[in-house]
Amino acid sequence: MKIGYFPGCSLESTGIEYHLSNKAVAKKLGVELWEIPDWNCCGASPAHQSDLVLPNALNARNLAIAEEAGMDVVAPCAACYNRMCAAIETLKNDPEELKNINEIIERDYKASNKVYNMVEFFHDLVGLDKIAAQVQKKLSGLKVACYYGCLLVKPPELTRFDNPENPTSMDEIVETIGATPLVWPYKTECCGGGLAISKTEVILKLGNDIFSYAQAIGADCLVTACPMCQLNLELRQPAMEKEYNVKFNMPVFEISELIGLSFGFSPKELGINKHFVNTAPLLKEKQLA
Amino acid sequence: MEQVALNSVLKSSQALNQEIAEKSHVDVNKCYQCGTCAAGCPVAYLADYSPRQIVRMLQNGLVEDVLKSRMIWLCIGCGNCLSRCPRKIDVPHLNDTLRIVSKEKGFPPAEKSVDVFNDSFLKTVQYTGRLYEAGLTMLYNTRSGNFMSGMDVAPHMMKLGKISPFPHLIKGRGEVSRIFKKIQERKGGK
Repeated sequence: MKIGYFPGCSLESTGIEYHLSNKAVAKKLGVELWEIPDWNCCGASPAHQSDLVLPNALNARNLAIAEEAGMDVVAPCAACYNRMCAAIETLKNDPEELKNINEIIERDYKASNKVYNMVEFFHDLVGLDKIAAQVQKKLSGLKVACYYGCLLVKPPELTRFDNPENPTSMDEIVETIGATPLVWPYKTECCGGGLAISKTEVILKLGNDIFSYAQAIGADCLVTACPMCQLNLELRQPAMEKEYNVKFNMPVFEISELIGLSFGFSPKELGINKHFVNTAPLLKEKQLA
Repeated sequence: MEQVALNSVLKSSQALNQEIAEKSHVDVNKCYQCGTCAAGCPVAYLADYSPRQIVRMLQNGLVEDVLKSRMIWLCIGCGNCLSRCPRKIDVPHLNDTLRIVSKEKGFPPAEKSVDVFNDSFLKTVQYTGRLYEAGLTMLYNTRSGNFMSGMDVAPHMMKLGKISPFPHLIKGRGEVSRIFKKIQERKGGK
């Protein structure tokens, strides 16, 4: 299988471990991730909060480059994924706006391709059986709270995710690689990522809510499929602990990192040594490294 | 909130309400005020009005109060409200539109830091084609007056090699700049 790959800005910087692990795992699964050449930023929240045309124009340029090469796209970042879904949905159903956008981007986009997130990619496009076949080291004893976040699953009309309130596809992947997914109610609550810089108090509260519950049910770690959630929840964890006088010290993994560990890759090959929360003690305790 | 004569407010705000409805494609009159949106909103605890109140105020013609409100700037776009709304009212997109209209009408943003962040973020995309994190931090800190923002976490990020001091310039950055320019021109801006 060959599929278009839109890393998005954070996978080259703050989310580098997601990028490295996606590439390593995909290769092992026999999938070629074809990076969209010379891609631009999707505009994230600032674009759709500032203009009605800009977000679709920025996304249409990337999607058009992929479409010209006959490619559907997998977008690992939940924010990019959400904005690409929104652009395709609008432009597919509004020929006049599609014409308008094509004039702006100076391309001939037809809104004929699809975009997938990383959970969908592993769960539906690759399939659990193919993942199971590559597992060399089951992540036995690792208790995982699957944190889907908001933009991956909501709104369901756009994302087609399995269930907007209690999704289970990531839990099924976690089970396939031998870890234990926990039942909890914060799966799709927002971590506040978009306000991390401009309104930091919000993310401290939302993060504290999330980690407190995860800790109470005995989770060893969270697992996400979004570089924004991962960055926000790890980088700001010390500030959350200080603000609410608690101690979490809980790593937040990307789903591809855990799959990679089960495939026998070393933590370094997957970028797991680049986390803001030190992952070494947990990996040692669970004999995963 | 002071007493208002709704019949006169409804009339005087009709054009503005119409403009918002046309730009957002959201029909606020479909809302029957169940409050599910407010119950699930992660930022309502911090805002002046809940999403339910924003919609009610629009129904009653209190458009200016809405355009000046903090809620439209705090909305993070998580989609809880829309996903759970029995009337499928797209509140996140409504809030996006309200922010845009609020700026067009010249109201000062009720949450300046959010506006400055958005603007700084987009400036780096406009000139480099991608997000330039160090540039965003410099622009945001100087323009927002929060000079030390991010400084507590920056050393950790640098040490792990996660942020570069330099931008990644894409080849098509001229193309991306032109996208911004054309959109601005179509709106009649400079």
